Amino acid sequence: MLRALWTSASGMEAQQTNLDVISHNIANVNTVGFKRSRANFEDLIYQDIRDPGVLSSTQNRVPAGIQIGLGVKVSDVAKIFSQGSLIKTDNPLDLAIQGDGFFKIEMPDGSEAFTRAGNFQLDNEGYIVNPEGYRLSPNIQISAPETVINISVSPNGKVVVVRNSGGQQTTEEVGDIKLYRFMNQAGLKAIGQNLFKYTEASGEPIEGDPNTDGFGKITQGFLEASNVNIVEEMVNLIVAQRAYEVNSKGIITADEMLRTVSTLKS
Amino acid sequence: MAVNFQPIYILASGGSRAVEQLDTITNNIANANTSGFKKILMREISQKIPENVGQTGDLLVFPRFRDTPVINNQGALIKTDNPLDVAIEGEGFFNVETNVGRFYTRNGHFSINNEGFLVDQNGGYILDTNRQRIKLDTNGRVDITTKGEIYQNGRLVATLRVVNLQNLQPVGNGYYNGQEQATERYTLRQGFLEGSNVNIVKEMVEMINSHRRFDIYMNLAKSLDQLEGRLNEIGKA
Repeated sequence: MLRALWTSASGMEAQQTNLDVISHNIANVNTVGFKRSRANFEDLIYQDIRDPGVLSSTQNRVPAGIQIGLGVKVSDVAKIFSQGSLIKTDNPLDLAIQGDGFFKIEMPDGSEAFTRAGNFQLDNEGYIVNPEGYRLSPNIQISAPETVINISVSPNGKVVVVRNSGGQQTTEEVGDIKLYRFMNQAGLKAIGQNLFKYTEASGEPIEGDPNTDGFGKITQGFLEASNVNIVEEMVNLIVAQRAYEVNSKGIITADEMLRTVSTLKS
Repeated sequence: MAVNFQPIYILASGGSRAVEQLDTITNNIANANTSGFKKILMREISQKIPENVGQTGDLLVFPRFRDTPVINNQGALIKTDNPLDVAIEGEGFFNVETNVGRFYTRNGHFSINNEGFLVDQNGGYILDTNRQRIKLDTNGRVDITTKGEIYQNGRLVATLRVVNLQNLQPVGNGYYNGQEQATERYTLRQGFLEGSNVNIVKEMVEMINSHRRFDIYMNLAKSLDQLEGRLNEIGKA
């Protein structure tokens, strides 16, 4: 059968994946701390019909051969960790990272996960938790929350609470928020709920204090918006759809040729 | 038999060439969104009909292709905001070391692997001007100048090796082979990728072309077949 059939099919398949990635980005355009992905493609192998450099006659060598490519595949879907814009919320436990780094979250099974989404809350025991109720790690506990009148988080991660107990105001340092970064953050594995797990490709997490050694600073009262650019995604959507269509024309052409062949002998 | 039906083989061969042309066109179209992909052209040979010295065989010329050159003109630059995406504007290819040999690519979609080396999307190591792998720090932004110097924390880490190639051969996975040539005529753009240089309009036209060409060959083959059918009927009535 014709190679063109499968070549075009590979193109359609790649564009389908592209569409999946784009629609996922668009679906998460308002997700706090979301990082957009981009599908990258590469060509498949080539079949040599005539090898370059063979003798064309007794003396002459052909400078270039005849090579037929076999289509395309998705090489990777890379997360792009560019900074999202900050949105003011005035909530004291909404924390945005300006610069590199992730918060560490303790999963219910004891494993670690990492996130850029800084929409934290206090749970019934006074621990700082994410919206799913998973604790921020290292754990920070604020005891007797009813006496707390203010929580402040400094750009370098110090959490200080102001209490009003018995008519007297006291300040108390309750802990430090650490940030984590990776040799290759594109190698992180997204597991949903805005969380990432580290892999062999990303390398082990490197711990550091916010606002030092290239780690980003923490901005209290703000959230980091997703870095999805809706205009760009719409353009990508159009490109993907048209590419899909044109590839399907390749299949139609190949199919019509096959029909011609099959009607050759009457 | 008196009638020479060799032309039907020539027509069949012509049909096969049209199919190969379609194969190449669909490969270009499938890679219309592939970073750093270069369009492949199927070039036909122009053939001289040998002098007819009374032999019918000398009248026949089979359609043939000469070669499939890679058309190496610039693709459009696409902004990605990824600091490790580098597009080449102008001449040149990046040098990549894989476990099956050294190749060249225009696809500047790089990343840092878990050991800190600069790698491409297949995990191949990007080479610097000394043909060494490039190791980056864990900390600090990567800045790449227009001539390929990689700076981190104000320190020059390495310079990307960019060479031009002649007699380009596609290898697949975005890689090419060819004869190296020094070049200075390039500008690197950080945060961009080079789109493929496939012109979808031209490819559609070529697709129609190959389709029609195929139809012509096949119709002629059919006519020849019918002619033979008629000949068999002579004398039956």
